Amino acid sequence: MATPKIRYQIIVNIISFLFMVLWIYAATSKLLIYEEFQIQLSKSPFVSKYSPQLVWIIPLTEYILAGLFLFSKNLITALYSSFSFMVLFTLYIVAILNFGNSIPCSCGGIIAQLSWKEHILFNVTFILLAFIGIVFLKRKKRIQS
Amino acid sequence: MKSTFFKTVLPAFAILLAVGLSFATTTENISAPAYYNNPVLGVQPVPGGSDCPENGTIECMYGEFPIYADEGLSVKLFIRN
Repeated sequence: MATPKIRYQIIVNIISFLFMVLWIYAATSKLLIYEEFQIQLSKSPFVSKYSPQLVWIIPLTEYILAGLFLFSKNLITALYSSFSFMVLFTLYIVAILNFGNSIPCSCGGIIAQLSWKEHILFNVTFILLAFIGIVFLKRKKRIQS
Repeated sequence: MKSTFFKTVLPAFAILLAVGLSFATTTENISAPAYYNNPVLGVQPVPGGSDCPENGTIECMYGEFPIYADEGLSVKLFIRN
C-alpha cells in the first residue's frame, strides 16, 4: 500500500505528464500551420490587432510552460502558470461566444475538431487537474516538512 | 530507479508523444478551401480556407461576408455549434 506522500507524488507526476503533452502538442500544432494560425488570429475578435505578435508569443509561452514541468523545483510555478493560462483561455472563449460577432473556426491540431462547448469542457478539466496538482503538491510538501 | 524514470523517461516520452501526435493530426487538419462574394471583386477565396461545417444555424463569416464551400456559392458554411 503506497504512503500518502507517494500517492500524491504519482498523481502530481501524471498531471505534469498530461500538461507537458498538452502544451507541446498545442504549440507544435500551431507552428505547423503557422500561416493558417496567423490568419485565424487576425480574424479573432479582441486580439486581431496583436495577431503578428501573438502568433509567436502563444506557442512560445506554451513551450515555456512545458519546460517548467521538466524541473521539479519549478513544478508549483508550472502548475500555477498552467492554471492561469487555461483560465485566461477559457474566459477568452466564453467572451467570444457571448460578445464576438465572428467566431474563429479553428485552433490547431485535433483540438480544432472540438465544438466550443466541448472545448470549454476540455479546458475546465485541465483547470481542475492543475488545481488538484497544486493541492496535492502542497500536501506532499507539508508531509515532507 | 523510480526517480530516474519520473525525471527523465516520463518527460522524454511526453515530448515525443506530443510532437508525434501534432505531426500526425495536423496534416489531416488542413482547412478546406472556402469562398465569399465580394461585391466589387466577385467570388474570392477565403485566405487560409475554413473548417466551418456545412450544417448549423449561424453563418460562418469572412469579415462581413458569409462564406461558402464552393465557387458557385451554393453550399453555405456555418459556425460549429
